[in-house]
Amino acid sequence: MSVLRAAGPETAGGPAPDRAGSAAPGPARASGGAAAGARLRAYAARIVPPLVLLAIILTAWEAAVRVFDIPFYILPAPSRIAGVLAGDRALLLGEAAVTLGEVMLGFAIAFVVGVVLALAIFSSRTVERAVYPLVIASQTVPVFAIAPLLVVWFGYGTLSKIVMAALIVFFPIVVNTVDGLRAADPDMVNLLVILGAGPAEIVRRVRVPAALPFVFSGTRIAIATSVIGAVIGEWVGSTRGLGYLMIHANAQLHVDLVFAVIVYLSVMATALFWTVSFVEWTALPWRRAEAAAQAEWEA
Amino acid sequence: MAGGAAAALAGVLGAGGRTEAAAPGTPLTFMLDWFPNPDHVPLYAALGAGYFTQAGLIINLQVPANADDPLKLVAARKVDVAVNYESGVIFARAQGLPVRSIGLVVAQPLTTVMFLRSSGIRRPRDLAGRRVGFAVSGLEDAMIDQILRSDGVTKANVTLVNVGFDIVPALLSRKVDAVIGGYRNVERIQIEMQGQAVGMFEPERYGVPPFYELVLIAGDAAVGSRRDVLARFVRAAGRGLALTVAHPEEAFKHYIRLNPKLDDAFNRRSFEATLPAYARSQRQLRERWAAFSGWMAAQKVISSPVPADQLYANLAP
Repeated sequence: MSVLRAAGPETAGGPAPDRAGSAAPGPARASGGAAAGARLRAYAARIVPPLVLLAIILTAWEAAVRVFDIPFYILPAPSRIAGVLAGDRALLLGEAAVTLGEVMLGFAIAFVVGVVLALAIFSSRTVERAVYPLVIASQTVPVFAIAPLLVVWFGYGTLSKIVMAALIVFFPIVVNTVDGLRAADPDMVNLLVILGAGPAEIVRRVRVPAALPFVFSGTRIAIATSVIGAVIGEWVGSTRGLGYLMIHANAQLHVDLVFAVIVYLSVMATALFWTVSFVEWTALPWRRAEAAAQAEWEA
Repeated sequence: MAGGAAAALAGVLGAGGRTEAAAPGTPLTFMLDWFPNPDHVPLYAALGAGYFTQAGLIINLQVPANADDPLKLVAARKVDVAVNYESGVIFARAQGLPVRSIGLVVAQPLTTVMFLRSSGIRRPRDLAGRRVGFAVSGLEDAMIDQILRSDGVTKANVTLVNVGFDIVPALLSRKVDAVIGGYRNVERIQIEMQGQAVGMFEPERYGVPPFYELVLIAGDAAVGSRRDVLARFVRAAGRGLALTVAHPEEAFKHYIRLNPKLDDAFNRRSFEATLPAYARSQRQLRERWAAFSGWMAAQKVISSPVPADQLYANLAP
């Protein structure tokens, strides 16, 4: 994360305060109160459609279960799942905390290793030729198949789940970071070369800022899927976490609890995705300006 | 699992080939509890010897992806008869699934606590302070607790570790000191074939009421409306069991003919170890169902005991 913070202000225009970089171009600002209303409408336009769609899906689901008399052990109705979500709240929250911890640790490790590796791949053709194919190959390994082995290698504790989550996160981060580092504007690079900047300075001033949007894209995908890694790890060897709760509930035919766990996992993955988006929004102010300009253009 | 699916297909073809010439019978979907293994020899013997065909049944044999699936599929009437466990039937009933046991395959417990003799463990108390691995069955906590309590310790004295399906590697690699959920006719043989002597704490010898390991299950609706068909099925399965007990070699030949991939030393040894446990009669005892359901409730695995008459039906005693 320190990489992000170091890069932010410099590219936002050096000494200028952060806010200046983030502000939308002139005209939008001038309208004042109307702009606030417009922003509110923009938020509503973003939040309302998914909520309406979700409500439609849940209503159809509830109706289907009632009309076709589908037994709960085949498909529990949303109202029944909601009952479990409320009734087993403490249990679900406790196990969710365990899984979230594994996901965060796995993600942190994979992020650091992934970014360092991406820098190495970008800096050296030899490293790229040696490592890149292996990184891609690592993604073809079916995590579910090696999960039991990871458990034997790393033990039945938290470590094997962290490794599992990290394995899933690692690939999109490396690939996106490498792509991002290559995406810098060549004219800008040439300009810095002409001005006498060294390779390290070019990376710092041009390549890293250009790479950040790519890194965030990779991170968003990675963090949402890393939940799957942790859960698989918990299935094959654990006594804590949402994954364990899920197989335990399944063995006792608590099908509604299984679905409640799935709700938790979906909410967790979605929340992590949005968190990364929020961090990007905060850390890359010039992207906000670009997005605002884009929105205005479309309007 | 691919092997299991292929074997199931072989089973279906084997049964189908015989029925072609005969008069059309009643189609019946039959699901195992797990991929084919020596527990199922009597069922394959009944298939191979044509007992189901003679009973006017055309068997469509299926293998589940998960041991809990048969309970749900039978309850949802997607499958007519399935193999499952006494505890499975009780869990299902406690959750309101309309399934019950209609017959027996293995009439005594096979699951057990297992350890390497070289670990120095000799009695349940020796497990105190050690790591015990388990495969999730929903019952593992209750069983280990009962066994430990019989020797003056509790499950608080051991570290329980979920080892997924890898019971044998977990024990052999000494990641855990004992495992719960291994079968005395399967995992025990696998470990012995690795040259290790195995020690066991059989649950029924340490205070767990004796239970039926493998039962045949059907849905309440079918038990009401298709009683005759189900009774014919149970009688045919009973003939397979009788053939297996009386002529083990012949039964095993049917099993490996229908599952060619399972013709190996492990399956033969496991079958021999299972022989004493196969059900000798299709008469289920009310006391057994009541006692085990009561024990599960006492261990708080289910909230209250399920009345025994909801758990089984003797269709062909």
